[in-house]
Amino acid sequence: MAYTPKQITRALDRVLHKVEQPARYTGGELNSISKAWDDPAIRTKVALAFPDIYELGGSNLGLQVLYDLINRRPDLLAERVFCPWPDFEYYLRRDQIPLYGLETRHPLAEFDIIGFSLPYEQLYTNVLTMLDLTGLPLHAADRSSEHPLVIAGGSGCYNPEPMSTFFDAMVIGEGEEVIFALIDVFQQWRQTAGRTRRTLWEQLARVPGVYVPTLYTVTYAASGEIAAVTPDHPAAPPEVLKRVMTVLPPPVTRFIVPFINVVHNRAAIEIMRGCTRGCRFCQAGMIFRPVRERPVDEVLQAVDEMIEQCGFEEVSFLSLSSSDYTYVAELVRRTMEKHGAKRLSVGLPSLRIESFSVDLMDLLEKGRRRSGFTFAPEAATDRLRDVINKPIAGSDLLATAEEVYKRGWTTIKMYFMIGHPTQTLEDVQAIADLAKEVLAVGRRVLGKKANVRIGVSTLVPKPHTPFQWVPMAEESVILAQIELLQRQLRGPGIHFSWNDPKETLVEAFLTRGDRRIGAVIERAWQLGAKLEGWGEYFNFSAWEQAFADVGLDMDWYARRARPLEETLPWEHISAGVKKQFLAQEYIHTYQGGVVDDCREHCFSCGILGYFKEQRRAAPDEAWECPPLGRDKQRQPVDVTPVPLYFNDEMSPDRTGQLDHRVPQRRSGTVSKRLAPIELV
Amino acid sequence: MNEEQAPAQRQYIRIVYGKGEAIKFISHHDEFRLWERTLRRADLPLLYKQGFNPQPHMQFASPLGVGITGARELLDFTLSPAVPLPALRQRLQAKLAPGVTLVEVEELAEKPASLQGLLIGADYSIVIYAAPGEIDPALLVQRIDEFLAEETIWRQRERKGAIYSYNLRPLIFDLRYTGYDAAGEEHRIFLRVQQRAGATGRPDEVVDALGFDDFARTLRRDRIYLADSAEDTAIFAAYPLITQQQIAGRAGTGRSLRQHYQDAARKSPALAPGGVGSRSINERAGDEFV
Repeated sequence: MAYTPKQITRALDRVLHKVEQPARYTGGELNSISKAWDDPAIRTKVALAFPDIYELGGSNLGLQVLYDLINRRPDLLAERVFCPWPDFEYYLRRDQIPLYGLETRHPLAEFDIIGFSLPYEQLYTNVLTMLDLTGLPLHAADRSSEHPLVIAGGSGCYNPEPMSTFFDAMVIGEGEEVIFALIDVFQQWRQTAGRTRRTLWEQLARVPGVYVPTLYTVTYAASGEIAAVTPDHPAAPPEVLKRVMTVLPPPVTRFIVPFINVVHNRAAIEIMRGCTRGCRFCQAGMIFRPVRERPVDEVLQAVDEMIEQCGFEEVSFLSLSSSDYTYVAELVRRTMEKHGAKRLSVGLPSLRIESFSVDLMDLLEKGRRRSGFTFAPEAATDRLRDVINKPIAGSDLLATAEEVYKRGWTTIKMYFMIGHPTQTLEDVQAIADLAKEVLAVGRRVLGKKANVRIGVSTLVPKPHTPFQWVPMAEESVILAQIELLQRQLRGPGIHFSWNDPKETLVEAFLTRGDRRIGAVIERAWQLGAKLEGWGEYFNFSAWEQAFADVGLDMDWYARRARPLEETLPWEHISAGVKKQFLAQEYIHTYQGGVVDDCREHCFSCGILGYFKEQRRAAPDEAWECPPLGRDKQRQPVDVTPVPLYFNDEMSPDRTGQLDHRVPQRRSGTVSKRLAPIELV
Repeated sequence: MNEEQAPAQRQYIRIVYGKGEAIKFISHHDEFRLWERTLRRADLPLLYKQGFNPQPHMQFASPLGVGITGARELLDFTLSPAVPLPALRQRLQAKLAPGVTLVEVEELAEKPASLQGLLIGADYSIVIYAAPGEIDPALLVQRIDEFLAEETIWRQRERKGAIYSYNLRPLIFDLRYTGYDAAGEEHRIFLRVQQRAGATGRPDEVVDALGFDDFARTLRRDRIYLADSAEDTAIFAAYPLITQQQIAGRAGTGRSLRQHYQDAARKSPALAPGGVGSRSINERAGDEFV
């Protein structure tokens, strides 16, 4: 049934008073952009779809960036759409109301392009819900040239295979860089005579960074492993390399101000993209390379504009490692000088465990007071932190904790992971011991007010990381470890929370899956799997049934150690990091070899090789990778990562052999360019 | 340092504003934040209370229910230091949130009494959308007549998770069909209710009791009546004062309107069982990687 915006509004006036949080579905927020649908100047209409409810997607920075970018062009229009909560989904289905764009309430099927954001695996089933409510065939292969183009982007696309059957094209890398090229190709295709979906795919495949799954054939060996991934058409490259921005453009400052309370109800400014630390479990640290910083004046100006245009009472400076932002001290000082008196609260997530972080947070306190301080040591022993390449000395951790309590914060939150390679029950016991030690420090300083909160999740070995070959831990092992922690982490002053191992397993097979998992996702969705991120809708039995129906084994995907020579399902996708680099780091994992921050020393991860033209085009200080060119200052470059040291508990035979290069595990301020004195 | 020591600097402002269709579905809690942000954008020196998590000095006359627009809503807030009224009006006007209209801005001579405590009643318009001929006006009139003929109309509501029942009928002072507007395709019904602590007639409950809940509709509060206005009290002198005791029913049985809505959505076989919101937004925030 064809619906007009007026009919949709009428239908909403019939049902919205019956659903939870109806303002999720009405749009019209401050700084949202509602263009005239029938304006002849508008040639292409894009729906930006976030496959979770408004409260989760409304604050997503990537969505805001693309929304701003597309709407700046007078020939384009972008609207938003989110996944409905099941109560509203019920009324949409009952009254046959199609899913619609929030801005002008046109049915989604009337847009030219539907672009899904795929930031993480828990949202995959929601994509199917949204395609279904739009009235589109789920499979790209079943859509005609009259249907909207359905694409995806975001870090979930770095292993595109599980969701590949549902999308016409998937963008690898940074959407800002590729979206206009993609739209241009679409516009040209639409003007050609005799166009078919197939010709659109072929033209899209020519755009660097665009993966068109239907143009590839995957064959399997008898063992079930992938034999080969082969392009079927000359336009489809054997390897799709991600796209990156040469220089980050100024941040979006006309942020959409949500009417209702969303998860991150504040202004967000990305100060830096990427991370130089090289933690081996961390996918973001690998796929968002190279590290690019925004100039501090640009960030400060953005803060002023955001306050004036949005009125947020909080601004958050986003990056993977705030302490590593070159100008972090200056940024914090100048922000508070200007806005501290106006009760502006400033968020600075992902601080390193060092006293410098406490100094920074102390400065921020001039805005609104926060009660807690969060750290992510990820492992509780020095040895295991070396294994994951997050070398923080235990003594530093306790000294930092003492500093935190001394300055009056009562809560320290610490995040750990279990299931790291080589982890033993002693390493898990150490989490409990460390929690108690930190609490003891707090008690000494603050008395009974002090408390610790411990969050434990299970390692999901992610594609494009050195851990991609590592199996996820067995459920019985995970449960035993959680039980141990539950037994030990109780009593006053200690709060312990952990992730459901079943939810982690779903994440694991979705992130590590191949093309065949698409059928499992579809079947599980038919059986009622949806909104996996929301505890009450998590439906593990649907997944078990789906695997049985399709004839696959979830443990084979999630818990199998993969040999280095196996063709991984995502191997035809390149994050710009060489397999050889990842493999070296994988080997170092088991040797206890620790590799330095790559700002100090380039290890040739691959980025500079793949993106040398862009490196040359960027100002020296815009990237943390060494500048290229004869006249540039040289920085040591190694062909392979050379460890700083080998952990003596892991590699007794190798320990000491590199001692001449760099001292053992460092303590004190790691951000060597910034002495705490600069803060005063 | 104690802001309570400098009352001379304080400026008490009352505004009359409209809450439009675009924002009728936001809750009172959200509307509070909407105004705080509006005042921040306008760079007005809103006074904050003391405390660990300071709250601004803002008070509304009466929170509007979700799905209800307001033509003349009242908001009091305190500024420090004072801002000249014309500049204040201009800055506010420039930074209003979508869906909000500014009707009046007024400076009060002294700290106002709690608006909520002064409430006595309100007028609403119930608008039912229907194409010409889709709903017979005679049906609407008949339902209204039946409603008014009753002495007791028991309704269920929820308070802190417990169901209680109350008699809606005495809280309704006026209810009549006022005609059909073909241009907007609107049937209009006028509703006047008592609005006092513990004894408030709610328009959505009236709509449901009339059996109109499945029609496309909008509800608008046209006027609030306050005890400190001679005009308002004169109008309400015609009506009895209904106390909470007069309308109280036995311990509640059955389901509240909200539970009723939730049941309907859950009965669908397409939906997995489970309650709403067992996992908080804050917990989900931890998952979100931005």
